[in-house]
Amino acid sequence: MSQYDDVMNKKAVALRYDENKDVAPVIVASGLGYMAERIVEMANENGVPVYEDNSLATVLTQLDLGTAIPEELYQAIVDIYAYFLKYNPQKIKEAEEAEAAKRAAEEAAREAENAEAEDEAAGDGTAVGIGAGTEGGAAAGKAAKAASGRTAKAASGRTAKAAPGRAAKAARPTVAAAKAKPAGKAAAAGKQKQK
Amino acid sequence: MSNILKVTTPTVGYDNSINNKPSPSQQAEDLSIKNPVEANKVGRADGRTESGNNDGGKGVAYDSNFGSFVQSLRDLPKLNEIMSKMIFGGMANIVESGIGKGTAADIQAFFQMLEMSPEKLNEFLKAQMAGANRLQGPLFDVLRQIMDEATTVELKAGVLDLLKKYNDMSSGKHILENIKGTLEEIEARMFRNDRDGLERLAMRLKQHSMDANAANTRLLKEQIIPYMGKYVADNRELGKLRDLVTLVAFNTARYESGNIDNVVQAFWRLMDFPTFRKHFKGMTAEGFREMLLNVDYDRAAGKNELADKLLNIMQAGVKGEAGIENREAFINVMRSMLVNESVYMPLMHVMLPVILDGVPMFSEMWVDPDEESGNPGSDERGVKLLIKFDMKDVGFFDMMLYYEKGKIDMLIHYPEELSGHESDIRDNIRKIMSRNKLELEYLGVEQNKVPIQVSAAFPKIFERRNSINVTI
Repeated sequence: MSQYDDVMNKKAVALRYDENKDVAPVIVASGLGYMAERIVEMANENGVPVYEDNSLATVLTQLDLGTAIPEELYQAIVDIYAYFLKYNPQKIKEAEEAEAAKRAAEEAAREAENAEAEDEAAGDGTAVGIGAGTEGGAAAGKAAKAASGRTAKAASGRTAKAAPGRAAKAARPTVAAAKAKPAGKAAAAGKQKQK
Repeated sequence: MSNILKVTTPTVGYDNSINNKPSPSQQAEDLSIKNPVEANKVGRADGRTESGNNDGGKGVAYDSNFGSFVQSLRDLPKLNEIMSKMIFGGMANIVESGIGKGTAADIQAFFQMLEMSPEKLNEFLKAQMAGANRLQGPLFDVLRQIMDEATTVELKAGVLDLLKKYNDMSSGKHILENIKGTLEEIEARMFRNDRDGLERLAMRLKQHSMDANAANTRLLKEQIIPYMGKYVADNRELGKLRDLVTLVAFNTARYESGNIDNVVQAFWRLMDFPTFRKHFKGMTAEGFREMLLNVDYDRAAGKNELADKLLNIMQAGVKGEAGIENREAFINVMRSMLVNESVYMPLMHVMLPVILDGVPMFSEMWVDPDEESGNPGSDERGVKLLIKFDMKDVGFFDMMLYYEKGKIDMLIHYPEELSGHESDIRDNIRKIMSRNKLELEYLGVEQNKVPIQVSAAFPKIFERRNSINVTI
């Protein structure tokens, strides 16, 4: 784990500063950045002696340090930081949840597809029933209900609406879990698939 | 390519370095009474001698400035240790300690700003790098090129003189602040009547601007410094106060040197050299002056809201607003930062406090953009970086890179907890490098046992290859 896990343990902060002992001046290069200059001002205000060297030798060193750094190096460093993020327990948990949500969404989508196929089959049956039972719609409705194993409402031609509803219901607990821990990109993708 | 894998701390002391001498603290502890080393000589009770080299015994360490630097490098708590603690804990202990409302608001705003995505981190990293050195950008690239091409000492000295004046000009505000601070310190040491006189004079110093430079310089040179000189003479103040007056005189010289007219003159003198002229064809003195006037020097030096917020928090912390314990932590941060800006540390130093995609992280970087390749007989140069980062709940990493012409050597030390993931780390680092069109020549992935020391990564710090010999 990190060297500094116990962040609230104030006493663990190394207290090596000794106002009476540390009297040697710190010699800093002149012409540094804004932050460094403000730190020097702060040090002066607080009795820490600082000497800013502006000799030509220092200027030469500063000039060398100003050499441009290739752009791709910056990006590679940032990518490395981002890569190691995935080992954060929180991120591992989120990734697992997102994966679970994705799997659930895929499962739900598959179920929905199956249901749709069943509905289509049932719909065909209804049509046949309506077509066949010219004498009464009630008989056709009963036949459709039996064929699809679902409500008469669905059987009467609204299957497309009912199927996604079911799929969404199946996916709901996992999506909610992904919502509770953000970054559920996979879950979102799963949702889209359902639509 | 240099061999970055065999990093060792070079043996110090062979180049007149005083590192092989005991530290003052060690000597202070060793106060045991010893027999006189030489019967003919009156020795000290603790057996130390002035020179310390005639009998192989301990000498009184008249530490050099480099010695003090080495001592600080060793003794000061590491910046990342303190900063990681602060960032990981959201500075909760500081807020709890009853810090002022303004600072608490600064802390809140600071942490909001730290939250960033990897894309934003890239921009932040570049901004931090830009803020670590003033001599970056197209103008300085040309001047670097001229320095490489220059065959005469006069031209090189002229370019350095221009840069020195530019540095003084761009730091004008900072130098004036230092002068004002020193004047306040002097006032505190003066008798009341004279103090009032100095206060009145100091109040006439104008806010820094290019136009105010000449008036301020005149006031300092013609009235303030002579006034203080007279006080020193009248009161025979030959101690600290006289030293402070000398410091004001030194800073006044720097402030005067940073007058825009001096910078333009230094530039114009260089136009006499054909090597210089060919790079600035068509540039007039007036055009150069206009260019200088159009620069926001604070911004160019890396001033941004995040830096200001952090500085405000530090200022409050150093003043003790967050309690004594925290004050010492802040003072240590301040001193660690100063050591990293030392003339004996010829490296760029960058701090990256961030909350990357919700995970707090503190990273520190030391960069030498002009490092020798290290191969015998080769004069190739590349970029060498030492990166340390601590990621909350992941661990502490050390990374060393050497980049040269699209090729890269790399060494990663990962925390113990990731020991089962070594091959995964290896594969992903390779992928990252190839995605960024970098040819990975060597990749070392090891478990972090001992953190890589800055002086081990950049042996030239101890070898003093390009450090400056400063005497005060």
